[in-house]
Amino acid sequence: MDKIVNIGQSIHIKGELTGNEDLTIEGKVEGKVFLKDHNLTVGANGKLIAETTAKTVMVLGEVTGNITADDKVEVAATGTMRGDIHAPRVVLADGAKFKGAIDMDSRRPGAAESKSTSQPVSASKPAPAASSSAAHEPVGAGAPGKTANL
Amino acid sequence: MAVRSSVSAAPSVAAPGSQSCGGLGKALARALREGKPQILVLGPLCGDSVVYLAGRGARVHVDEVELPAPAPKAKPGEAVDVPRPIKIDQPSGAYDLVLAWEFFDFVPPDRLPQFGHEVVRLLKVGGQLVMFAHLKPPSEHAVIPRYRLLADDLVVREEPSGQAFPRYIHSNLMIERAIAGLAVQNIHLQRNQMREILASKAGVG
Repeated sequence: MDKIVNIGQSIHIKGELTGNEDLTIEGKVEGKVFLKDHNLTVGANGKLIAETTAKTVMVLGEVTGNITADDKVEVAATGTMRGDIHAPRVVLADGAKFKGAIDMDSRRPGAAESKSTSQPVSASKPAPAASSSAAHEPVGAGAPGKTANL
Repeated sequence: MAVRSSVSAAPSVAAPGSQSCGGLGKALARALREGKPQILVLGPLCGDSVVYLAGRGARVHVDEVELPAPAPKAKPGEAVDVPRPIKIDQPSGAYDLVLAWEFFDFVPPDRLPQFGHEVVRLLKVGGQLVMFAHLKPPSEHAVIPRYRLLADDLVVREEPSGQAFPRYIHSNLMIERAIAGLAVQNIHLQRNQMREILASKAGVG
C-alpha cells in the first residue's frame, strides 16, 4: 500500500516540491509541486499557491495556480480554485469557487470517460457533482494506509 | 479525434424540467466549428455544464462576476457617489461565445448599458452571446439560477439555495441597446416566459 504523506496544518513550505508518493496538504505550500504518477489532495485547511503537476488532484481547500493532471482534477464543493486546469477528466462540484479555464485535452486517454462520469444523464436525476467526490480515492487523513505527518 | 466524437452532443431528448434552447444549440454548433473555441461562462458555477463544454472540445473559462449595485440616487444638496465601474476581469476580444445565462436580469436598469458594453468587449468579432431574460418573473427577488447543460440545445434551470437578489425586467429594446455592437440573431420566447436571446458581434456573418 502506498505511503501517504501529510503536510500538516502548521507547516508552511516555500519552494519546489517533488515526490514519488501520494501527498495531502493541510498546511500551506508555495512554489511548484510535481508528483509524477501520484495523487495530490489539498485538504479542507490546505492552501496551495503553485504550479502543480500530478496524476490526480483533489481540491478541498484553496488553490491558486495552474494544475496539470494526467488523469483527473476534482474541485469539491468546499474547494476554491483560481487558475487553469488541464486534465482529461475534470469534476467541478456545484458550489465550488472557481475562476479560470478548463482544458480537457481530447488527445489524452480518458476524455470520453469524463463525460460519462461527469455529465448528468437526465434532468430528474442529474449527476451530483458534489457527491462524485465520493468516487475519489481517499488519499487524505483518515484514509487507510500508512500516514506520515511532516 | 476519435475521442472527440465520443463526447459529441448527447441527443436532445427532453428530460423532465428541461427546456429546449434552439439559440444555444445554434451558438454552440457555430462555436465548435472553430476547433477549440474559447467559451466564457458567467454566473454561478454549474460544474457539469463546464465539464460538458470542455468535453465537447472547448476551452471553458469561468468567472463569477460580481453583481453591479444600482447607481445611488442624487439627493438635493448632496454630492452623488459615483458607482464603481463595472469591470469583468477578462481580456478584450478573447471569446467565441459568452454564456451569460440570466445574469442580465439581475443587473439594475441604470447599470445595464455599462454591463452590456463590458460583455460585448469580451467577444471576438463574430463571437456570440447567449442570454436568458424573464418576461414575467414569478418574484421580484431570486437566487441567480444555474443552468445545467444536458445537450447542446437542452438545459435544466436550477435555483440553488443562497442569497436572493432583486430581479429586473428589461425590455428587448433595453437589452439591444445595452449590447450595442452585437446583432441580435434570435429572440425565442419559451414556455416559462423566458426569452432566449442569441446575438453575434458584427463583422462576420
